Amino acid sequence: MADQNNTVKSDAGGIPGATIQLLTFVLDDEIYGADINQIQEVLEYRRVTRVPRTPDYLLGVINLRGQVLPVVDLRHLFEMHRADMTVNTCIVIVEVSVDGENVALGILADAVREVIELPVSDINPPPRIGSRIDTKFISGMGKYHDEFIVILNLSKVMGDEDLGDVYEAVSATKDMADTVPASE
Amino acid sequence: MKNEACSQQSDSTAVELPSSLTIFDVKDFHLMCQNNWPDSKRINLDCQAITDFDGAGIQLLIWLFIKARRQQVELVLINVSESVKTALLMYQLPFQWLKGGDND
Amino acid sequence: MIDPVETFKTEAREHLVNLEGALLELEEVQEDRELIDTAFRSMHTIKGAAGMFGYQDLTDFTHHLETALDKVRNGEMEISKELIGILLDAKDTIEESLATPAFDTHLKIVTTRIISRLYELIPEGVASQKSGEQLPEKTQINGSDVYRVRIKPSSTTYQLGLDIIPILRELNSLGTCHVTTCVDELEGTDDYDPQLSYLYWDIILQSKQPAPSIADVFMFVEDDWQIAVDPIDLTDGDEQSDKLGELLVSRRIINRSQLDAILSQKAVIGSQMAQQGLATESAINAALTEQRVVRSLKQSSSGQDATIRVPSSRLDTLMNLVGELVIVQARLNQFAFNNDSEELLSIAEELDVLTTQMRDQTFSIRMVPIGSTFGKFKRLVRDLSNELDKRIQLETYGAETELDKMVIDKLSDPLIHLIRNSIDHGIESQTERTASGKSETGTIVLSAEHSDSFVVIRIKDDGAGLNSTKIKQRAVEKQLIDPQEVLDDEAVHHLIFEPGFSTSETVSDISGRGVGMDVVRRSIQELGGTISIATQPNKGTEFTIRLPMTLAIIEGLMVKVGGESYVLPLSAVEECIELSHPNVGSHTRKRIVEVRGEQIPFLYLREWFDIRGEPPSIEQIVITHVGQEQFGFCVDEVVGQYQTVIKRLGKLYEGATGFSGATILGDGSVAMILDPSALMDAVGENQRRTKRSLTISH
Repeated sequence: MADQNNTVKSDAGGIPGATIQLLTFVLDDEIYGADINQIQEVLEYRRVTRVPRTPDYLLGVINLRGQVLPVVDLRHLFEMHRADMTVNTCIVIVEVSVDGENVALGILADAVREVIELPVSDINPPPRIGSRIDTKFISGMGKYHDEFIVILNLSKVMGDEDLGDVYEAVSATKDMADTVPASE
Repeated sequence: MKNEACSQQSDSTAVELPSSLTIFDVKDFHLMCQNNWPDSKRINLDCQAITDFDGAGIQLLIWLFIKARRQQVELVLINVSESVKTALLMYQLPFQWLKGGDND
Repeated sequence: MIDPVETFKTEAREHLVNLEGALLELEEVQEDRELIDTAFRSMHTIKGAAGMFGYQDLTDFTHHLETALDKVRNGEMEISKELIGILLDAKDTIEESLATPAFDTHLKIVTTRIISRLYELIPEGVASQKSGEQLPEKTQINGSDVYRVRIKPSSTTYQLGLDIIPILRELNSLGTCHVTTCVDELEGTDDYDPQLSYLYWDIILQSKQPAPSIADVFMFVEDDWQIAVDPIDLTDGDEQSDKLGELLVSRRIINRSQLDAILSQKAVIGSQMAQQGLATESAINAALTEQRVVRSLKQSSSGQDATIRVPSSRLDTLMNLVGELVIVQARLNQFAFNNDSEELLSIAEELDVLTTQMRDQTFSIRMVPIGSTFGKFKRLVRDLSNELDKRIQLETYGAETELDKMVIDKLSDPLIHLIRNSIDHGIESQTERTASGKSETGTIVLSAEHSDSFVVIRIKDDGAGLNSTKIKQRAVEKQLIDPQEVLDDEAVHHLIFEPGFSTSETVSDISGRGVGMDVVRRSIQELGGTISIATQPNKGTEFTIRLPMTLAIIEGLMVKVGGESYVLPLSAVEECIELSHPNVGSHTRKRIVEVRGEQIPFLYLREWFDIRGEPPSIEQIVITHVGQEQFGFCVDEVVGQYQTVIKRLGKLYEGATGFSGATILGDGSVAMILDPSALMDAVGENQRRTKRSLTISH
């Protein structure tokens, strides 16, 4: 079910009228979207048991119907501002393919919006610069009701690379982004 | 086709069985046995020549054993080939049909 | 439904294991009747089964091997090293061929070569034709059904060209037959016509084949003959059912009142009946046969050797369910405790006892003696030592030591690697050994035993031992340590477990191939175990692997640190002592506490876990043992015993050291399970790193 090649081209000769479905959620005031096929469920925020001496972006583990799942804080991973927990904070349970294995994990979100459907042809390629996170983690940019949606490639984020590498790549991007003037 | 040689030797007789003991041969062989039943305490049935046999043939052998038992004669098969042995083993007969007693 | 071909393959592999074991032993002892029989029987069974499942090429191939083994059995041929070699190669080939029923080109070539090598050894006068007239030897198959097969051919059957012999032969190939040829009609006739059929048969057939396959045997004769195939129920607990009298009644040979009359006369039933002409001798014999067979089968099915084959996935599911049950039961316990209801508490306790028993039983189902893998190692030692031209013998102890099947499966590769290592690097060549005054033949000892609630597996060789200097050199080369670093012996030895380390100049085909010692250690750690080394130059090396007995549920000790709950494996815990004045020495994480004169280091978990806040005034130290050593953990509070269902942490937490998993508490939250030995190692490692960075910064 996990889709490795999630990159979407706006001029792709795909099926006319094809759409994708995304679950949209909020991270540090920006809207992100993830392929609905990878989403298992959305939980209200619950106590996460911390696993000491692990990277900060690994918040810890939770119990989901007898299964112990890790929870990742993407905000930490992408070095965003981490707001305090509110009533809207959720844990989105996703299933992605990591090194050929299907792994279930939770992603912390400041809030979860809705499931939307976007025509593939309306999706733009990720911006080359000025993006907060490395473009390789972005499948594309969408627009819905006047808002920009960053479509995440979860498999890439959690997937082929060690999360640690992700972290490093992110920091490098940020350093670069800081030195380049943001453009629209 | 029929090769019977009955030789008298003290108290045992050797009877050679023919090379073929099938439905086609049993009638004749049976008649021959009825007419020439040896008069000794022990009969050795020599199976050396047997190459061809079927259920009718084995049945006839069994009949010979029964007859021998009735007359209190010891009947023993000698020079039994593998194939005959195999067949007789399958029947798991309640007789001592082989010298040395090798039923079952 | 289990695919019968899969069953055939599984069983064939088992027979191959037996065959290999017997052949390897025969190589040593040469003359052992039992071993020869085992080898023959295994080969024979494979041949027969292959034929039944359409593996015609395999049947034909094994026929030749069976012939050779038969000759050995009869004394017509001798066991020789060559023969064993050929047969072992054949065994490998058979294993390869199980994948598909027909031989591909490769197999055709390989098998032809094996057969020609074989016939070079076999003495003259052997016909190499196919099975033909052979009577299939009676094979003992467990788990088969028993049928009563009655056959009465029509009287004109021979004249019709039908015959009983092929039918009997086919029945024999389906399983084990106990035949009673009923001759009473033949006996009773005054006017014997040899061309008519008088005989009829009463057969007890023990077969794994389904009833339709048995019925198929009579396909061409069923129109003319009277045939009855009836399954016999071995499971009926009725004590009377297999008594001779009952059997005769059930066969309607006599009726019940006749039976009662006989019984009242107290004589041996069979003879009574025959005398009174109630039943013919044949009928009685047939019934007696049935009685004998059924009795012996009933006995064996209630004996300890009765086994049942179960797919492991079902056991896994069962284990999971038991795990869940334990968790729910813990919640019940907590609820009962909180609600302070006497009756609820007592119910919860009873449930506790039952779930513990169920847990133990379920685990014991998956326990398999480790000896099942030893055969593989013997073969490895033999092949490798031949290849390398070294003389090595493998001694094994503790084959009956039981482990969880999954553990044994996962241990297989690491153990193979360790043994390969001993053979490749440990044991020296014959000349080297004699030069240093050792025996020509090197010995590797593989042993397994239970200790506490651990399984200890040791691989010991009397070879050259580890060369500390060479190891250090290599580690420096690979930049694993600094040249000036001072390491104690143990630390040096453990360097071989570091990824990227390898002492051989060339990655030899034998122990190279990317299965390094680091993978060995990781595999063992994944099983929750530890590996340690003891070595002496020129004397030898011993690897000791310690594994926890069960994987999924352990008895734990729940503790609290900074408001969070953690679990320590109870089997490792020795005692708990109070600490009211914690040693303050913040630059070193390792602290010492004195217990009855002993200095025991302990880890201050609040600090290790980076927990803020005020520690309680009274803290507890849980003293655990890790192997021979003792190590303590300082916690806020010791809560108590807790049946811990281990949940694995998963891929993302692969790097997290010190935790062997997590568990779910009664209130639904998650608690981490601590791994004392990993923590101890981590602390040690941390200290070394700190020391290193301190020295370097100078």
